[in-house]
Amino acid sequence: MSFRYLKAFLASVILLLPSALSVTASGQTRVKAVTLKVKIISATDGQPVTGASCLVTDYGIFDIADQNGNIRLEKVPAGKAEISIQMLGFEDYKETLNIQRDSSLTIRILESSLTLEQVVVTAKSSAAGSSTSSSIGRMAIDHLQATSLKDIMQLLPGQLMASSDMTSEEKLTIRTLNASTANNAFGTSIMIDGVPMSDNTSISDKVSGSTGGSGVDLRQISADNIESVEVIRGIPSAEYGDLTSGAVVVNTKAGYTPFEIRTKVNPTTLNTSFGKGWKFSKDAGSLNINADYARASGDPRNKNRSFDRVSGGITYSNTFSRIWSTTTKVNFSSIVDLRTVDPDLLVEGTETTQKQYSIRLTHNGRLSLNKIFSRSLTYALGLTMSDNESRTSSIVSADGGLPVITSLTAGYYQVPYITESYRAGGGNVSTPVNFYAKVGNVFTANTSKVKQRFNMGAEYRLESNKARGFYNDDDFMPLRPTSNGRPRPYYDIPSLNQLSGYFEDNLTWDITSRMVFKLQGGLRFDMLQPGLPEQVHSISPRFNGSLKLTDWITLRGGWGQSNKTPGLAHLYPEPKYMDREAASYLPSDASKRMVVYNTRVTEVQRNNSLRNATNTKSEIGFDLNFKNGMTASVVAYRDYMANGFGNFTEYDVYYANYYTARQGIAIDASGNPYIQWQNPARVDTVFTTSGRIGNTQASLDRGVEFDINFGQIKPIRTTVLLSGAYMETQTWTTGPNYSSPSGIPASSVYAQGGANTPPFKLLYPSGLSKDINRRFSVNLRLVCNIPRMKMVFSASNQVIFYQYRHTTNQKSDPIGWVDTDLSYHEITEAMLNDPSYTIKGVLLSAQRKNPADSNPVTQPPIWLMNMRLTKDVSRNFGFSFFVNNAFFYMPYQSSSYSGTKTERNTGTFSFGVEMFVKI
Amino acid sequence: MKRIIYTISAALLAISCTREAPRGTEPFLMEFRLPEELSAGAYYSGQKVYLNGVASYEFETDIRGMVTVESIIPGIYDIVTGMEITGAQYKAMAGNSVAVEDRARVNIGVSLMNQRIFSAQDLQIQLKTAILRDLMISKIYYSGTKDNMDRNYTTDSYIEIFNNSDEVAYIDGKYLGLAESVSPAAYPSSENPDSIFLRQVCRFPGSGQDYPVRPGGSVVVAARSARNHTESASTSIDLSDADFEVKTMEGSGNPDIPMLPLVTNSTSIATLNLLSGGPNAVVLFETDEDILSWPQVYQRGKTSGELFLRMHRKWVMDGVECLKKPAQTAPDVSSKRLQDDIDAGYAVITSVNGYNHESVERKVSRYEGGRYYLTDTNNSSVDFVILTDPTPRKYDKEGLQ
Repeated sequence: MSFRYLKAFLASVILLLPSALSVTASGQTRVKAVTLKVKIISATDGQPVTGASCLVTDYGIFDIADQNGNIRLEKVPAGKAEISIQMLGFEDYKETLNIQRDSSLTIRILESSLTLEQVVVTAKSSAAGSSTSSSIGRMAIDHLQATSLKDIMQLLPGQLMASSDMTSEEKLTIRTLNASTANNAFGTSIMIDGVPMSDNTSISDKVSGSTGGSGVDLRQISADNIESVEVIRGIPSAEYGDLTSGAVVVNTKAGYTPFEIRTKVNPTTLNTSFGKGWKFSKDAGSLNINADYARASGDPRNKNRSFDRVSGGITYSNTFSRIWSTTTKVNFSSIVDLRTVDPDLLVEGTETTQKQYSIRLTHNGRLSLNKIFSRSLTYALGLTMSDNESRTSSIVSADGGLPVITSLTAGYYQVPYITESYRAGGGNVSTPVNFYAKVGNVFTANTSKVKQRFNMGAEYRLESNKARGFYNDDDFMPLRPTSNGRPRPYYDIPSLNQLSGYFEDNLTWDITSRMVFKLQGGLRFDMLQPGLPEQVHSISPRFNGSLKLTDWITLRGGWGQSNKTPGLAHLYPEPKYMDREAASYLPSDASKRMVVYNTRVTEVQRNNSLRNATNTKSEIGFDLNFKNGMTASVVAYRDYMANGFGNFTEYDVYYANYYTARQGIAIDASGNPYIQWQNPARVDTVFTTSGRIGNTQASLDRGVEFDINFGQIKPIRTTVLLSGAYMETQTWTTGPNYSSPSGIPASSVYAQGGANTPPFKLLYPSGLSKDINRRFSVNLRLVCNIPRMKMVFSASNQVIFYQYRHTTNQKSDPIGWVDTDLSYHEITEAMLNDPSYTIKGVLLSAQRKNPADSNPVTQPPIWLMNMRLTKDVSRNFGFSFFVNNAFFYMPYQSSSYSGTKTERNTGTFSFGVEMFVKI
Repeated sequence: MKRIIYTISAALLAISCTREAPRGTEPFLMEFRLPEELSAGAYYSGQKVYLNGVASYEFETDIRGMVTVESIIPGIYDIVTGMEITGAQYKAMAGNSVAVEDRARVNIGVSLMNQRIFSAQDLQIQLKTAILRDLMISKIYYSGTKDNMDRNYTTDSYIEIFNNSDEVAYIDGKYLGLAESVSPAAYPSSENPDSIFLRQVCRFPGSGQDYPVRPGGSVVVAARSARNHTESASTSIDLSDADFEVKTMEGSGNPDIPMLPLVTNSTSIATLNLLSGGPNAVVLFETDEDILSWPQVYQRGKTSGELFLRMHRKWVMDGVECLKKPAQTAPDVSSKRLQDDIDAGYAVITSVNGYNHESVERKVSRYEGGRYYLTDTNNSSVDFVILTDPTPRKYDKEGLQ
């Protein structure tokens, strides 16, 4: 069935190919190919820059500079072409050249340092015609003194400034104000060196409390080893898949670097790293190593919580025969997250340790084939293996009497009734293994007016998590003697197989000499678990377009869908255990006590009713580029996801008996109680859910982002940048909205059985209650750089003008009811209008919900100012200093709703210093 | 009172010299003055006054609360009079500022013993108010404690109801309720002067005279579990002799202890859910109405969650407000669920979350006739103390005296 889609996709690829060819073949003005020779030298000392990569972005033609800094770009179609040169430790070079014949030129590239006239310590917006994104370079990361990837996100428009303390999981969300829904973080793809970090195999850890399928924990990535980050907020290229919210593309350091030691100290974090890169002799490539140690404690006075990270990596890069460039990396990281009580109280307290060891192998290659149908062929291989272990030890409170229910199968069991609290230990082991392979190909087709770059590829992922899972040290003394505490091994959870393919056309059409139309149109196909009952697949079309009207104004827009496949946590939920007391006979004579429980197991072995979560993104905006250097970019966006992953309610009904001393419990000759199974005092009809996950979480994110660079005020050498966003996020659930009827008297048989024995379940319309968040925030950054002093100073002034939160609470009438035989009955308008209509003796008119709408809460404006300074004392030594909330502004303000004054900007004040030595 | 003593002593001095044969006194006036809070424009009219001594007389006060005694045999008399009104009537006379439940019986009267009446001296007699409550809440233990492994222990909570009268009282058919405990208060008394919103209500079994409580005796209700809790928590108490256990089925839990059934319940918790840190506003009430016919409401602005039973405060026999202690500030009095005439003050334990085996206990007013009488001014700040010994049925604890 789904192969039909695959066929359709392949067919469309095949159909598109000849059309692309026809442009090449039939174009009467077929352009001639030229050869361009470039010599790349350092602007500082005029030495050739070995290893610099040079890419003709329009055509995908590239080369790596040899020992003498020489680059040879062949078969470049004559005409305008943008070339981009990148080298570790140097500023990126981008220039559009007009090449009409074979030529050679020399390009000087600038070494990154504070002596440069223009230093970029903020995020740069992407050019129109491609995905809306922000790129953040090494200088910005240094100036920010980031310790983890999450810190970097505050440079994006609309994101608030924050300082992280690393003692809790850090997950990335894009363009949302509701960070509590897991879908946004789960749908954010983190690509490191071309290989995604996957959270598909994570399963909720009952020991540390982390939820499966809720996004990658970013603390394992050290910021010091990052060369650049690109955050794609808009419609990503079809090349990026398995995502909904956006993608974060991280490149780590490779190639030659000087020996460098960095140390950051602030009240919550200590972070030291070193790195060194070597350039070997001719054809032997280069090697880069790095290591990083970070220790964080949320509160310096509090030694009960700590976080330790040791990470490092080795990178080897080499280019063979000038056409095959490779980068191979081995990275490891070890995280120890500790939560304990005061060591003096350890005898009585709880201690939880979370350890995560991971090793990551990536290999990237690029073949500059320079053939008609394959200008360059790229591939990436990645293997990530982790060993995550959480351990906890705590005293389980018996609270006077605790039935210890451990049965893994259904039935009635006499259970131990413990009156003394006991010490229990247990843990959770998971070993996610993620394998990723990707092949991509780029070729171009050009006429004098229209340039096309075709980008296509295929991906395969194999992901599994076969491990011990959740366990108790002693199964009869469980950590959680309740329904949710059964051991859960992961061995029988299937592996995930995912196949994807994409095809994309990047078209540039020079309408006139000034007017340019660009279109990126792509299609992506993803299929998870092919051939299995739970197979899911999706097709994601994506478009980004721009129209440059004149030199100074460009319009941009886009529409696209992106799909996130469910993870193991969604596809293979844990069996649901329902334990009900069947008898509780607790006479004063403790030796005669008897407690019996009924256990019911509901299992969703393969969740075959899930679909991919689909996010539909649309954007429209404009870019302005003035001659005086001022630029402005404004984008309005709308992200709508109707089917994010969330709980799905479905009912099953069973009968459970209850025995009492009056009926069903008899006393034998020796005075011991026993159950007369055929004589229950009460039989409950129990509704139970299955624990299934469905596509029930909807969200709508919309807003306007802007990024304005006013340029440098020359006399004071200060650049003024203004960025901000008005954002709105709405979240609601779309799954069936059941609830038990209200007003069942406590003495009735339905109430005696507890919460799960109502006479019936009522179905209400879903999605009426929405969480609405709105925020308008602006960040004015003043960056002053004085090259002669080798110093950059920046002040970020953030003002949140408007903050709004509202949970709507609409009137709702039941639309149907589910009887105890699971039959569904509709509730009509006539029934609702009849004030005396009853369902099984329950008054229907009492089930109409007509609440007073809750009040929206708005907060008064608040500002915050952070200051940073970076100075190179010499070529080899420098430091940075920061103060967050420099004026210690923490006012007491009251919201529109409550007169209670609460402190704002709490936790924002911090300061720290970073020093670095380069040899 | 002093005035009466002076008057009597003066009379005594006056007559101590005479040694004449007894003969009737000259006519004199007895004026009965209503207690100060009632005296504005009201008189003790039409009430019987009894003089018992060498002879017995019966008079009736006139419209101005006066009795004209024409002639009686001089001697030592007990002067007894009294009228009984309801709390509601009393408040109607005194204004609503007075702390008394509508259901209370209020006795206005006096009983002067051994009055020497030998001369025709006019008497002014000040009447006193006595609010008569038979059953009242005497102990609420909700904080819980720590067990022998230092874990929280909360199943030992209980409520004790005491008979403070001199007659046998019957608990049959009375109700024990807990007011809503949402934070912030969903229905504070400041916004609801006439209603109390209950999250759980238990109804005592019996049809009238099945469960007697002797004068000075009490009824212990194990809120969660009637057993000897000292087995696993040494600082806890023995509830194996409780009178009732809150449970859903007769014969479950401790089979020897009768069930106290929940009539309404805002959650599915099948026991009386006293919160270990508070707030717990406990009311004892009686009504001839079907409480299930009373309106049930959600928290304001909500359409699901807990349903609270709205009760008119006129049914309350006794109520005790136990507020939650915030970490740093004083308890939030604006969150009180009980009106000031039911409880003008509040009780509060010393810990934010409880687990410190503190119980809220009513102080002893006096020990007389082999039994205790407890203080009752409808002000928990005055009537109750916080003790770290939560033992039930025990009134000789040092802190209670």
